[in-house]
Parts: sequence; structure tokens; C-alpha cells
Amino acid sequence: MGTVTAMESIIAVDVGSTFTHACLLDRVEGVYRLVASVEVPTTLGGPHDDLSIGVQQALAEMEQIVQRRLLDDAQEVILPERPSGEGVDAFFATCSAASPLRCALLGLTDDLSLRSARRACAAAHTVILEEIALGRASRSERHRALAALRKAPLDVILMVGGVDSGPTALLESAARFLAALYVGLPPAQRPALLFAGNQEARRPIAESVRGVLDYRVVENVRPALHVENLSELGQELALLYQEKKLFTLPGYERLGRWSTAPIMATHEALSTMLQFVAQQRQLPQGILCLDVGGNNTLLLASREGSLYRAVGARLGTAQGCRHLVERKGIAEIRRWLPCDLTTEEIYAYLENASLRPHGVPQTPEDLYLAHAVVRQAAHLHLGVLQQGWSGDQDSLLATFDVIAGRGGALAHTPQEGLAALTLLDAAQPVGLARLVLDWASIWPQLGAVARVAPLAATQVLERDGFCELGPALAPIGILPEGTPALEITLRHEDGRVTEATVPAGTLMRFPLGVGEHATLEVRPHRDLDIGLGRPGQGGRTEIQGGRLGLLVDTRGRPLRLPEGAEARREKIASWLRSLCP
Amino acid sequence: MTFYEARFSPLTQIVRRRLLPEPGRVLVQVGDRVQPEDILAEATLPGEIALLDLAEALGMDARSVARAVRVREGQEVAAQALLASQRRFLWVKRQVHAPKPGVIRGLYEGCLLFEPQGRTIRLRAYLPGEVIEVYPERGAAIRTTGALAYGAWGHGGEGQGRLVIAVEGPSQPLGWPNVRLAHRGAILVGGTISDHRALFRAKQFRVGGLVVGSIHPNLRPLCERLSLPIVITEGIGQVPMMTALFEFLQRHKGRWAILSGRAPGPQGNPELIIPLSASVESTALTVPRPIQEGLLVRLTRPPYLGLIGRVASLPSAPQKTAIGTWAKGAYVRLPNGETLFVPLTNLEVIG
Repeated sequence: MGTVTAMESIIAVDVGSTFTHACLLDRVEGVYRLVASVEVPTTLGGPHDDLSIGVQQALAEMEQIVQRRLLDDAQEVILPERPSGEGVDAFFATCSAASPLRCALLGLTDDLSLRSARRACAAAHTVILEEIALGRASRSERHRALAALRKAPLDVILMVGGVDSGPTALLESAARFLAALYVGLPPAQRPALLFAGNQEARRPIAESVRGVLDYRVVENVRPALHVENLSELGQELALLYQEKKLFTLPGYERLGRWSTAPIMATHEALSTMLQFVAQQRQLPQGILCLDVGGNNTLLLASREGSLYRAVGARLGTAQGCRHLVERKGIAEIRRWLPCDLTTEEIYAYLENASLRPHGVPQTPEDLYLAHAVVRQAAHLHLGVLQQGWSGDQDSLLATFDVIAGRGGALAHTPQEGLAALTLLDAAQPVGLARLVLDWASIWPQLGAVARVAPLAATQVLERDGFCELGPALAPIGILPEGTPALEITLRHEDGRVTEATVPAGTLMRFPLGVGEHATLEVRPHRDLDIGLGRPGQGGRTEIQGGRLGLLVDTRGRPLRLPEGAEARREKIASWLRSLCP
Repeated sequence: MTFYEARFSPLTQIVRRRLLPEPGRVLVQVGDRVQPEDILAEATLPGEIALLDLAEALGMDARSVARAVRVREGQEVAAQALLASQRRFLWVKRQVHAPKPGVIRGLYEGCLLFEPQGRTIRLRAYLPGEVIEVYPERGAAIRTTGALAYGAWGHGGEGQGRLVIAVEGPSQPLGWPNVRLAHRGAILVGGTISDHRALFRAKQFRVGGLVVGSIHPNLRPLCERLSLPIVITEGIGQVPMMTALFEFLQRHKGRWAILSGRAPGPQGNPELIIPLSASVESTALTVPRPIQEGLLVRLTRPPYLGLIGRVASLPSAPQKTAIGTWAKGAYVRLPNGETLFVPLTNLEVIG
């Protein structure tokens, strides 16, 4: 790990499973700015199979852009910055290039502790390969299910169950079974046993598996019947992901040597960054981030100091689209398309995208398909995020102050209107929310920087981190199409006043440029709630413009697409035209 | 700067690392000459746990089984060794014997966990060539010379056989009549596949493997079920095999070819290798290199998927694509004279 000096210049990289993103931050006129950002394919697999080579390639490309030497003759990062201007003062890295942690869940009953364990896994970078409810199975079913674990390529067995001071017999005997099951395997092939159940069982289980399994204990996820405690389990799963997955990646050690601070998992760094934004911008309703990459989908919601996360491992726009099709089918993706493609064409597009994940769309159809996948992947995981949301499920659908989008498909969209439509369709925000994009793919890196150099992260984020698409207003409720839904008055700073009646079922744009401020006055139909808690209640607020101006979405919540295929395509195409003139 | 590995090399040095999944015993030494079927290394993998339900077999309550067990935890037993015995009545005795040699792993709720003796796996050389490196307990690296073509996708493991061109041209589908009994053990080359019967016949006739340009998207799941070595060179859909590759394979029909139908990943790419006799000195390893003007490239994204052209120029600044995205790329001249701007990420170097 490198040493910290005064940080004038910083390189921060994020090594994803598909692409490696690097950015150079430096002081320009006394303020930290984003000087350059670069995207190259991640070099895992193939001829290199070393992620540090991809980082070197990114830095070599950056050298050409900024005309400044960043790598020495041995291809090592020059740290700290030399008086000649070569190198940088600090290097930060985040990584999500590893495959997810493969998990088996063991619990007593399906409805309590196992449900909590599933929630914890949904927020970590895991896939659940097996689930066993010990208390619900017969003796022989239990034996068969436990014995089958040895065939599954597991990284961790997560054992939960029982409130504290409850019975422990089933958990103890399952632990004895596991010890007998794995003792014959070489140690490298044995999974870790993570216990997050009845604390009375901790010691007997430790006795049973001593010397056989790597046994770890965290707080009971269900210490009492109506109490759920997932934080310690979440932290341990994150630690296991680092130890078992990230540390074993080829080139990870070298990346660690360059890094000024420990390498962070991308989703941890992005979480840090979003909490930072929510806190700094004082967003009472919080921020929702949809990050749909080539192989993984990550949904994060930060509100009132709490963070909610849903990780969709192997679900994305490239390698991950196959799993999405397997889970949801082609029809669920096709319904978001404004063009007519046959099932075979869609399959072929998606399969080819998964075979060559670094490619970028070159036809509108290809582009629309990528955005359809983004919508579907995000939509799927919003449901998972809702399950993790404390309190009633509807609360998640309440207004967010900011809806943020990231990932290749959104960041590289040639039409910002398409990105906005995708965010609106996927998140279906209600009330007034700002739509923003991580256009340079730097948010996780800034999350890592923020831990050591918060000023640099703040200044870059404020000035260069957001592509502000604009505020979007969407009422809750559904009206027949064409019914006057909202009366809008927009008073600009220069005295201009725009007045309009927005009919139901439409998407409209009102010009309001980046940095421009205006007063928005809204009078909704008596059956529509604009997020003020009561249908028909109007309001007035100050808003700031964006690249698309003010967007008004009266298509209704929840969004309903027309039933007929042709009508649906025409409708989506018309929405697209409204946002992409 | 991104480096590209050529997807097709008519004559090159090929080095493949062959590793056991678990530590074992390496049977070759540096300098040894090996054939594809030769065994490089072997390892013993643990057997699969068997559950012997003693409670049911002995007709006892699960909690009482322990007193009927005649073996202890960790004990190695021979096949047919007595594991448990219970006298039911004066003249009736129920007994449970070991199904095969193995180890007793424990007793759990009336069930005996029995681990049969491990099975031995053997790692074959895969290529004819010379052992150039030995990895103690893990395997060896083999070097050979020959033609190498990487696939976009593959499945079904490794296969080998003599090369048979089953179609007239690179765009002709491999139909079921093209697959004949005489092709048993051969590597069949076709343009595309869209008929599931061709796959079934290839499997039924024990064809050594298939190499085609593309496969109908609906057939990919079938390929994954059939366990027939298959390599797709271009992609999914109706994309003809690259003409240069097809013609090359035609010229080498009848030669021995080796196929690896693994999915692209850290373990390598799907590939077709035709060993050719050339001295190691006269050939070089194909190393990844940056894209350059004049290189032959394959376009990998619709609507140009499968087209071949030459890099005409490489603008240093990002350019606007047909749909309005800005990307670093190359102007590629197609055989019909048309020149296209293609993002670098949508290109593969052919050679």
C-alpha cells in the first residue's frame, strides 16, 4: 500500500467484471476537478487474466489524454507525484470483478430467520445455491438435503434459526452432520460456516465443527420474534466476499500495492458515496441509485441515514442478460421495446451481447434492447429492495429527492431522453425527483476517495460528478388518458411564465436549462397525489433545471403499459419522442 | 491502450497449461513428447458421501441406532464389511454392510455417513507436443505448432478427430442429412446450425465435435444439454463462418484437429487447433497487440456481426457512431469497398 502525502493529484479506479474505469482528479485553480476518465475492458480471463493489466492499459490511455506520465518503465504507478509532474499523489481502487459469494442457507423455519438471511444475502454480493429449512423437513429429507450440500460448490454456509435462548438441538445436530460431511474434503474445498442464529447454540456448534470448518459467529438475525438484526451479518458477508473472492483475483495483490487505502468492494464504495451525497445535499427523502452493469445489478437507497441495498449478481446488460431472460423470460424484456423484434432476434441480440460483453450498441434496436434489460433488471431488484425496506413496503415507493442512474447502458446513451425514460420506467418515482446520471462512471471511485480525502470527493462530485437530466414530477394515481391531470405554472427567474395543462397518460418537457432556477406551481386533479400526502393537494416549490428541463410524467403509478403489442410499441415510441426531440 | 489477441492464426506456437483440479501426481517431465491421449497427471478426488439409513434398515428408532453400530467414526472399512447389526428376534438378525470400500464419517440421527474411496481422475495432454514446464502436483504446459482459431462460444468439453467439411460453403447450414454415420469420431465443419436434428444426429453418431459459424439462438440450451463438443466461431444467429477460416479448414480437411468447447472465461476460450508440423523455431507465439492500420478485423456487433474488413485508419479522438454515441474506434474498409466507423470494443483482430 502506498503512503499518503499531501493529495494534489489522485487516480481512482473501479475494476468491474466487464469494464475498468479510471479517473484522474487534480487541483485546477485551487479546486479538485475531474481531469480525465477512461474506460477499458477488464482483463480477467483471456490472454492476460490479470486485472492490474487492465488498470495499466487504462492509465496508458489516460497518459495520452492528459499528456502526463503516470506509469514508470516497469509499468508501476508513479507515486507520489514527482516535481516534474509525473505520477500522482494517491491511488484508490474499488473492485467488483469477482464472481458472487456462493451461499447455502440453513435455518429452522422458512418464514422467520431464513427470510431474514435471504434479505441479508440480497444486500451482499451473494448467490444462494441451496436453502434448507431444518424444522420443516422430515428426517430423511433433512439428511438428503444436507448431504447434497457437499456437491454444491459453496463458499459459505449461513446457518440461522431460533430466537436467543430458544431450543438448539436441530442446529447442533446439523452442525455435527456438516462436520462429518466435510471432514473428508481437502480444507481448500470446505466452505466457511457463518452462524447468525440462537446464541445459545454458538458454543456447541463450535465444538462440533472445530478443526473442520472455518467457523464464524455474528449476532442472531432474529434475537426475538419481532426483532431483526442484519447489520453484523451483512458486514461479515462483505468481509467473506473480500477474503474468498476479491483477494483471489489475479492481479488484486498488485492493485493493493498501488493503493493508498485498502481496496473497497464497489458496492461498499458506492454506498459510501450515496450516503455522502444524501448527507451533504441534505436530502430528506433520500436518494435511489440504479446501477445496471454488464454482469451485476445494484440498487441502493439511502434515506435518513439508513442504507438499503439489493445486489443482483449475474444480472446485467451483457453477461448477465442471460440470467435475466432465464428468470423473467423474453416477453418481460420485449414489453419495453419501441420497435418490433421477433423472439429469435431478441435472443440473438442478447446472446451475442453476453458473448462479447465489451461491445457497444450500433443500431437503435440494440440500444433499445439494452435499455429494456436495464428497466427489467432494475424493476426486478426494486422488489428485492422493497423486501429489505423496514416498515411498510409502500414507503419505498414514496418520493426520493434524487433518482440516480449508472452503468454502461445509461452512461453511454446517445440520447439523454432515453436515459431519463429508462430511469422513469424502472424506478417509477412519484412526486418530484431529480434525475441524474453518473456520466463518467466515477461514483464508486469517489466513494473510496471520500474516506481519505473528503474535500476532493466533494468538489469533484459537485462540479463534475453528475449529469443533471432535470427534475421529474410524477403524480400517484391513474386517470383515463387525456383527462387534464396537472395544471402547471413555471415562473422563471427572468420573469417568464409558462402555464400548461398536462393531460393524463403523457410525458412532457418544459424548458429549464442546467443551473436555471424557477418556481414550480402544481395543481393536480382531485384524484392525483403529487407526493404531498393527499390527492388533489397542490403546491409550490423552487426547482433547478437540467439538460432535459422539467419532466412531467402523468402516465400513472404504477405504470401500466397498453396490452396490445402494437399499441404498446407506439406508446413507448411516443414517450421516447416526447423526451428525445 | 487495449491489446487484442488474434482470433485466427494459420500457423503459430500454441502453449496450453493443463492443470488438475486438485493436487495430485505429475507423470511427465520437461522435454517429454506427448500425444493428446497421453496422461500428464492424476489425482484422487474424494468420493461422494452416501447416506446409509440404519434406523430404517435395522427397523430401530433413530435414537437407539448407536448401540447397533459396529464401526467407529473415521474407520476405514472394506467392501461388505459389517457396519451395523441388530438381532430382532431369536432367529432374525438384520445387518448393514459397506457397499464398497470407504471411510465412516459419522452417525447422524440414525443415519451413517459413509464416504466411499476416492476416484482417480486423469489429466490428458490434449495436444501433441512437448512438455515445456511442469507444475508440481498440478500439471504441465504443452507446446505445439499449428493453426489456432478461437471461438465466440463453445460447450461440451474437449474432442478430437479428423477434420471433415460437411457443407459446400461458409454460409450453408449444417442440416441433419449432412451428418452421417461415417462421421463417427470426426470434427464436422458447417456454416451455421439451425436444425436441432443435426445436433441429435451428431450426438447419436458419436461425432467428435462440431465447428460452425453460428447457431440459432433456440439451439444453445440444447447444445448445453447434449454434451457434444461444439465451437461457434462467429456468434449466435445466422452468421456465416468467416470465409478465410472456412477456406483454411477446407484446405486441411482430413487432418487431425482438436476442439475445446469450453465457455469463454478465465480457463481460456473455446478453440479449434490443427497441429501442423513446423519447427518451433520457425513459428512464434501469438501475443496480444494493439490494433493497427492494415490489420484484418472482424466486426462483432449487429448489424455488422461477422463482417470482415481491414483497418483503414485509427482516429485518435472519439468519433460519433451511427446511433450518436461517441466512442474510440477505427474506420474499417469492407471487401465491398464501403468504409465504416466501428467502436474498438466491437472489433476482433483476425490476424
